[in-house]
Amino acid sequence: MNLIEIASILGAALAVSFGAIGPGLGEGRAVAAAMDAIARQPEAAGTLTRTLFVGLAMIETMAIYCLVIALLLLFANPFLH
Amino acid sequence: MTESPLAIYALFHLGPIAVTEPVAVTWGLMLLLVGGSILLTRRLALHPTARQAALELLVTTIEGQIRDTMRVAPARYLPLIGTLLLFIFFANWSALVPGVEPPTAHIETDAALALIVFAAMVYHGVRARGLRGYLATFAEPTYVMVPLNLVETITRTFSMIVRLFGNVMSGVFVIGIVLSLVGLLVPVPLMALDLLTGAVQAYIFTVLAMVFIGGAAGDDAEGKDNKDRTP
Amino acid sequence: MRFDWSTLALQTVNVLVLLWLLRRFLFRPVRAIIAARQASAETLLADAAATRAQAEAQAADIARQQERMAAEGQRIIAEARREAEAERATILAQAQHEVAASRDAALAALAREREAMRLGLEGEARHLSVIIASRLLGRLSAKAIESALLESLLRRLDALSDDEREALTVPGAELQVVTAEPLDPASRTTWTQTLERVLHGQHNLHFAVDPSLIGGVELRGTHARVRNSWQADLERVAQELEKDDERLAVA
Repeated sequence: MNLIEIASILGAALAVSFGAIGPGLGEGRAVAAAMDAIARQPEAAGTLTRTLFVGLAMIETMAIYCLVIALLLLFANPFLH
Repeated sequence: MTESPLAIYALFHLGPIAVTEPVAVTWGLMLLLVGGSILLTRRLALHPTARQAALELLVTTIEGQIRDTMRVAPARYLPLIGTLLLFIFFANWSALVPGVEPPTAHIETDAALALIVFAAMVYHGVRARGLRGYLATFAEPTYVMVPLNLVETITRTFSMIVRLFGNVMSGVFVIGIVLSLVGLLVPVPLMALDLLTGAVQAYIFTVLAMVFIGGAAGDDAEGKDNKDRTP
Repeated sequence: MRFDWSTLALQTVNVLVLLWLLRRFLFRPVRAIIAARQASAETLLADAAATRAQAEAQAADIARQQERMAAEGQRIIAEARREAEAERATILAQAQHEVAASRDAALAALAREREAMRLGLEGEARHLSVIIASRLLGRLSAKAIESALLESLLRRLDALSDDEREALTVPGAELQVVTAEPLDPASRTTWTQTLERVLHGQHNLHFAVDPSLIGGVELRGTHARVRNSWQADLERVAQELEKDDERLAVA
């Protein structure tokens, strides 16, 4: 195993792990805010839930980007040829 | 080491064109959707049967979403948005069929969908505002923003591709890894989560498409119709 | 990683074809049927609204007509009542008038008849009394009559109060003796003597004749007279009769 492979594996692990922190915090805040809003205004729960799902998916996209980068590093590394 | 989720293999060749797995699955989905539509819409009546009522509910729900998100009359955008939603939804859920990998788990399909959305965005922008008007939207709020707006237009299309691809592909990949480790019953919750993610991603993709197309088209007067709102 | 451009192209074409097919086979028919249902519902609603408006208009028409008819009826009834009232009033007035007229006529006739009867009866009674008197007188001799008359006169004079007697015998005044038939001279002297004796004193006596006395004698002084004649009696009787009549009429 050469250095590039080691660096790629490390990079993938770092990307996934750190890439999960930010979206995790953000999603937690979003869900907390949505809960608060639904508790205040239960009649708006439908709209809030829809918006929450869209927002969560958007935030999760960040983690997905990191995952994609990790996968690229692992399976489609352009430096390993 | 598992197989690369990014790899793509040709199933067979039609002349010079290599027919890959996503294309074949897409054909199957097309057959299913069109055949189902023809079957369901064969006997439409003023007094609806249960199936017709469900179909009408689906269509009116999509129309309502278009109306709520784009603030315009839904008729012009319904076929595109509805097709995107139905296709992505059924593509994501095609993982239910054993041995079938969703076409959206391959980046080429997502790129095709995003390309169509991009084309529709430009088309409706030009149609609603005229070429000059549409190009002028890139200079908002100031001319300094022109490069940023251009980059944003490209990147948001690209983010649509990667979002859908990453979600579906990661689901497939995670299930493949778990399946290779345990194999019995353990992947079932992950599959259920995958289905939920697939449905949500289909919805998000169409909502984003609506937002982008609606933003490009703006509040074009002919499309704006508040009277059409159903209570 | 290898990006398969042919797959991208194929998928794009696939999605576009699917778009066209779904538009052709799913969205257009469903939209059409929804629009058709909406249109039919709207037609139905419009029809219902039109029918209802028509019904309301008809109801209003009928109500108006009824009102008009009721007003007409009221008017006719009022008119009839008014006419009947007027007719009744006229008839009543006429009847009252007629009744009054006939009653007046009857009263007048009655009064006339009664008057006539009274006159006739009076005349008859007078006549009868005259006949009776004359018959009675005819039976008596002239002398006897005269003496009887004288006696009755004397009785009346005796019955007179002093005041009356003085009123009758004012000294120097003329005293007239009126009889129904002329007295012969012998009788006159007898009368003169008798009266002078009764009336104490010389009197300027005259003798006169008045056939209307029928029978009897009257002594007429300047201020008083003594009536002792059939005429006076008859007049008294007649007065009594009249009084009776009045009493009857009042009763």
